[in-house]
Amino acid sequence: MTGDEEGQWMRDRFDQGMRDVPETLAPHEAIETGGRARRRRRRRAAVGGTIAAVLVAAGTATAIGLTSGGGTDHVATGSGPTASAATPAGAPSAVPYAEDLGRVSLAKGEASGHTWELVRIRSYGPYEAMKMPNGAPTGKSTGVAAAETRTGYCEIVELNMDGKLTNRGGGRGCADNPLWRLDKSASGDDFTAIGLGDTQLNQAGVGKLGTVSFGIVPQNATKVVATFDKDKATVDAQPQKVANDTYYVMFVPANAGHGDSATIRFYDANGKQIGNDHPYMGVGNGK
Amino acid sequence: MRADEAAQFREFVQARWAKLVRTAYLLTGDHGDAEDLVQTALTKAYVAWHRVQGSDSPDAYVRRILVNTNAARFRRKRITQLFGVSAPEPRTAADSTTRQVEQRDALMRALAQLPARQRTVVVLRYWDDLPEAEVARSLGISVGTVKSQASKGLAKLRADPALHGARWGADDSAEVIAV
Repeated sequence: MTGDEEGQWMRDRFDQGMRDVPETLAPHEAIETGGRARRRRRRRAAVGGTIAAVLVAAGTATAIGLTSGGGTDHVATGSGPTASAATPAGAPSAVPYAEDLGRVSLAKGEASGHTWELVRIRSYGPYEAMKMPNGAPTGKSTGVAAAETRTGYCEIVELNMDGKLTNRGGGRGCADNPLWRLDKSASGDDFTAIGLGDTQLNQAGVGKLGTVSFGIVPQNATKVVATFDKDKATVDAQPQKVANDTYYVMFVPANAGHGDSATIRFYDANGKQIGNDHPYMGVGNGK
Repeated sequence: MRADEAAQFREFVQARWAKLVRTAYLLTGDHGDAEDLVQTALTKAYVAWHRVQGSDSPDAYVRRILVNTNAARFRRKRITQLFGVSAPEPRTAADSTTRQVEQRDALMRALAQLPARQRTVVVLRYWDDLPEAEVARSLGISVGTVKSQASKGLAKLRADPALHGARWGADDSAEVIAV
């Protein structure tokens, strides 16, 4: 038997043996969801410290605001831990828009020798990656979406320090998860804070730090200012333009402290305050 | 991934799924494993879709992912099997009533006797009908190695009595196969 004949013999065996093998439908959703999760894991692995360590070292807390295009605007503030030494944090720098649905790096910078990055994550339906990475406890996460959240996308904001996920906040459209709270009655220019307590993320030796929160501001706001009740420090949130959205990043003064209150004010392009003062509702430790 | 890229990816998956699963079935010998393998390979392709699209041959790119993923799976499986060898699933009466199933079963058992790389070479060369050079590219080996592996693989398969006999002919449908 020649080589060609042997090849044909094998092809015949394959043809006969594979006849009538049932066909199945391609699991498009599972493949694409798996692909997005894989991409998130790879990006997360590529980034790297802990917010708590940085906050302690820098004596700063971090706050996030975000404004979505096409309707209601959002802004965020949050307060970090009480810290003893106030070191000015590095100014955030905008980073390129990554993708429409998935991980978007909102801003990143460096503070006291530690890198930080804010990442917005959108996914359809309930955010399926609420589990903390690296074996961190998942806490009381329900993982179950409220019926009204199943159709839209879920949006959260993560804070990475030295490339490691250290805190997570938000939850617009996400499953009702005890890791975050949302005042669902908020609308228009009624400011409310959505905060993430750190009870699930505190890490041995670094304390409980790193609140991430955001809320809603008027559509026509061009400036967001927070005045912290404890030290009366006033901080301008720095706008970060990402595609059609504007995200505000704010470093909370050291003495503001974790769970401290602040007053948020919004100003229009003419410098006129929009609406009333909005007390920031600090969230900490799952209160 | 932009919307148009996502649509292109979906089209790609839709068009290739069945063929990839059949190839994977011959590589793994199990339908469930085959679907898992293809799903994993396509998930990887999704992440690298820009590179896949930009390559000379997206099919070749994905085939290479599939083959490499299977090689990793095979390595894991070998380790697993050290700790827990499971008996083959018992055949059902319904299965044994059709010649196709008998042929497939014989084919899978014969392929299972081949070393992983040899099996892959044979499947890509004679099932996917790829030229030797393409098989070599998919596996990252030389054409000479493809030739020798194909030759050895074929020799073993041709020596397997289960792949001979009337069950493979058109004139002996009444043969009862002892298992």
